[in-house]
Amino acid sequence: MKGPGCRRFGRLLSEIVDREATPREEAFLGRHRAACDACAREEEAASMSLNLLRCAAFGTEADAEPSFDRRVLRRAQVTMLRDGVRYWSPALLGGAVAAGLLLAAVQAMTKPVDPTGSHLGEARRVVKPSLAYNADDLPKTLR
Amino acid sequence: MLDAARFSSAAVDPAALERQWVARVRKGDEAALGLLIERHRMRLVRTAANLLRDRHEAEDVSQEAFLKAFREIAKLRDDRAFSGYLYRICVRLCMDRLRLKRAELVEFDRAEPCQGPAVENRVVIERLLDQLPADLRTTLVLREMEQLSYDEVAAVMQVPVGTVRSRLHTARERFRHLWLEANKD
Repeated sequence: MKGPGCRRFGRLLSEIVDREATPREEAFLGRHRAACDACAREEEAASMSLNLLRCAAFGTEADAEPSFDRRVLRRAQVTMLRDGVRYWSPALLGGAVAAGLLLAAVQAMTKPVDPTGSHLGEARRVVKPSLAYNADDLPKTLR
Repeated sequence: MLDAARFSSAAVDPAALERQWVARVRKGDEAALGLLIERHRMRLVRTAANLLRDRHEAEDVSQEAFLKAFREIAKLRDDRAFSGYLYRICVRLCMDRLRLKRAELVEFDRAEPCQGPAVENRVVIERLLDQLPADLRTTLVLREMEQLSYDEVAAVMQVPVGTVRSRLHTARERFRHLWLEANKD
């Protein structure tokens, strides 16, 4: 069963990892360590587990592969290009549509009149008056 | 050209040099981009490897962090803040991956219970760290493995120093209990 001394011991254990214990705290820790086996074991476990954790840290061996820089640079270039296109795409699209419309308008205005093929050509076709007629062209009742 | 740029600015202090590079990257200078990558690569990959315990995944995350930082470099108000900003992105990405991994691990453990403690220290440590929540694990690794100060951990994780202190206390206790349990088996 843990008493208030054990709780204080546990709290101090965590605190003195990062700072020096005061003489008073040191005296308390020594007294409690001698009196409580469970806390002494916990202290040992805390120290060992933290040491193991620190030893398991990656050091300089955790550097990236030699191609890392090149890969990042290439991806950065692609990303920047893509972002640039995405940023300008509404303007580019608008410009393309406007240019298309302008081209269509200019084409329509400058299109030459075809006297035989288009409707306009047919309307303008001059029909010479003549008395000669083809009987087949008349309705049946008039023939 | 890369070497010439480095040589010419050898006398300048590293922070000032980095500010110059950041300013050049903003203008689209690719050589400066390369210099920034070279400068921060090792620290980033090492931190990610310590957090994720996987070097290949660490490289992926570092790459992502670089790309994200470069993409948003224009939004950075202070050129001096780049290294901290990059580091924060990297830690955040690692935490996201840890959360994802932990969720997968919980699912897996439900289906198939643990086989017992591993022999090698690194493997044991990895297994123990896997059982800590992402926040506690990150705090513990940044403090104990990366040896950052409380203030630095707080800045990287964007939490108050008091939160770092309490998380660290909890993380150390949990880690100790996990280690004792693993040794019992």
